[in-house]
Amino acid sequence: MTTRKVELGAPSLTGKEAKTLVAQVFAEAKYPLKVQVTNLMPRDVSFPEVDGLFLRHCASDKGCQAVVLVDSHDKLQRLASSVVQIAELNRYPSALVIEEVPVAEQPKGKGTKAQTAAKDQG
Amino acid sequence: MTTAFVRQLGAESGVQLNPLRDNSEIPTVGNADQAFAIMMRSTRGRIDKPFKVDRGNVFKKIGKGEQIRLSALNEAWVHVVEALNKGAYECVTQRLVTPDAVISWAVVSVMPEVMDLAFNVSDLEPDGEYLFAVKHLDCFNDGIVLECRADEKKSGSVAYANERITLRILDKDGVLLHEFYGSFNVDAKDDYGNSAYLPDVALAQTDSVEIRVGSIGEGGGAFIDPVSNAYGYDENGREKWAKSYVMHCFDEGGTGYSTADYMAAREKLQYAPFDYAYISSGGTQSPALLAQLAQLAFDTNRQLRFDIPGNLDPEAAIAFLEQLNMGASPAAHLLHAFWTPLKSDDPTGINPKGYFGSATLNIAYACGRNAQTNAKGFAPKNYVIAGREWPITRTRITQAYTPRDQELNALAKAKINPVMYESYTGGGRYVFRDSLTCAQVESSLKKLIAVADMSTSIDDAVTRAAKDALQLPMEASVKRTKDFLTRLFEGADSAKWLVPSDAPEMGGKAWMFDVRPNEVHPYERMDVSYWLRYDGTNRQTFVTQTLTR
Repeated sequence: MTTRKVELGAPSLTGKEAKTLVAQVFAEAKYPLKVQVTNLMPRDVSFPEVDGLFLRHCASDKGCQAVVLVDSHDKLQRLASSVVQIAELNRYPSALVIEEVPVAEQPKGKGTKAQTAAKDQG
Repeated sequence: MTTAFVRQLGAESGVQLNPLRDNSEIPTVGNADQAFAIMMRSTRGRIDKPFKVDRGNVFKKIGKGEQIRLSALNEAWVHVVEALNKGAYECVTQRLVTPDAVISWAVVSVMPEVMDLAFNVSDLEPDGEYLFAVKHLDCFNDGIVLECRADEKKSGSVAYANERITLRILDKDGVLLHEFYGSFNVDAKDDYGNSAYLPDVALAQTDSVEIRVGSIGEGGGAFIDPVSNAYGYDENGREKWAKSYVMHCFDEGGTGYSTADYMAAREKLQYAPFDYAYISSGGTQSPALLAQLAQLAFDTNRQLRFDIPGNLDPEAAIAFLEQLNMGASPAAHLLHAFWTPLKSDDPTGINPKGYFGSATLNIAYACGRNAQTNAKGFAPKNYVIAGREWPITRTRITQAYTPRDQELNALAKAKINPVMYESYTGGGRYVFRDSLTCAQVESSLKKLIAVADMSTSIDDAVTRAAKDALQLPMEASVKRTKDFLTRLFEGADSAKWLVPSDAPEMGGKAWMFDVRPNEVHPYERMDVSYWLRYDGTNRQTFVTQTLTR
């Protein structure tokens, strides 16, 4: 099974519009969706609207990746908007990779701690 | 009555009285510095242009709020309500929507034979047989209710169909929003000869409602039949009203905002006919929205006060700000960041205890302060909203993170103002601990929020006066502008905004200006320059005790 994956960067450099890209790749996804986010930028970044997401720069061994739970497609779209805005401001053609965590690794049963946190974040 | 004059005298003998000439006008700035602008997600409010909200109509205009646990976007509503109750005079709001937002028509038609009114919602403009249709541009997510009735129209004890109706639009709780009394007949007139056609009546009262009148029956035309449930009175003599269910005529199309959506909202705020002195982020956690607000601050020369989420630790808070590269903005002194690691009760009461940003509260305090002007119209803007005199007035506050000295140092270097507990004479309180702008300077007035507040006020006053002097003869324009600047800077000086400068070119004065026609384009351009030395803010005090013999 193929996992959904999208790489985001400054639209003026990549020629790709984030909203369309995310809509195409994650159109059929079911939410809440567990995704792995990888920072490709040479700077620490913070996207608190998704589970208080804080990622260290790409050269960092630890902390440039995180697994977060996204509870709606709208929230994923807003995350993508924020990522491309940061990428555009700083002129990064490659900024962030969002990759779906395969279903087998997704939490089962009642809500996990991560799910609860994501809901609290709104 | 006979007058002793005429307005225009010809060759005849007589007296001509010219129109009154007014040279008494003094430029004033109104109370725009008590208002702020915001772009936010709300459950009510028109989407096509900005609108004003005050504390009297805030629930009616932007809805009754939804919990932050449903969506973090709902924090903006809390900010607006709190700010309006704590000093802000009004808020200029632009509602955020996606291109998928749809405003539908509430269509009223007539059931065959029984002639009762039927209500339904249509995404498309109504077509075919219908009585009338209403488009509610205030876009309520929670729906609207229509009520309408026609009075009895009798001739010789026989009831006839009536074309004039009373139409009411209510919210889902039955609060009246609009009431119109008009006719389905396009030629109808009222007692003053004005159009009484229902769409015209609505248009004359508000730009929030559009009405289309249709036609029913074989003969065409629109009317309320005597047997209808909206005609006349019931057996107890009470008025008969046909009432709809709660009609959901607006779909906001989700909240997956793209950069283009934020840009569209920014442009609408920039070209709004309403004035404001501050821009609030509404506690947004979206860097994309903040970037657009920073652009708006630059375009309008207004101060943006924004929150860094309080649940971030100092390191993440600094990363959040630095990724936006705000220090590099030419208007960095207009951008003011606040980090509030405090949990408190929701000031509006709809959310449980949690993190609520305080940047909009800071704006509210500033608006309240700006209302207190001196005899020359100057507010004490040299007193920044920070420190002991401006405590956070929320209940059950607990501090979730207490930064160490080194972290406070890092926050100050990153130009972030922490909002936290501090001890003072008379007891401790939660305060805005610092007043730094995002300007990347070390020892400059540009780093102080108080100076940003004063300098933007001066810029605003000068540019308005300069605009008033446009299209006047050059000499008159120069004189008028010079007179204005002299009066303005004397006022700023007496309000203690300015202090004597020690710059050699200032010669010990607090202010200087130069107004003259441009050397290269002396026929059409005027150059206005001014130099001001604002008073600073004491941020750091060094105390030393020396023991002597």
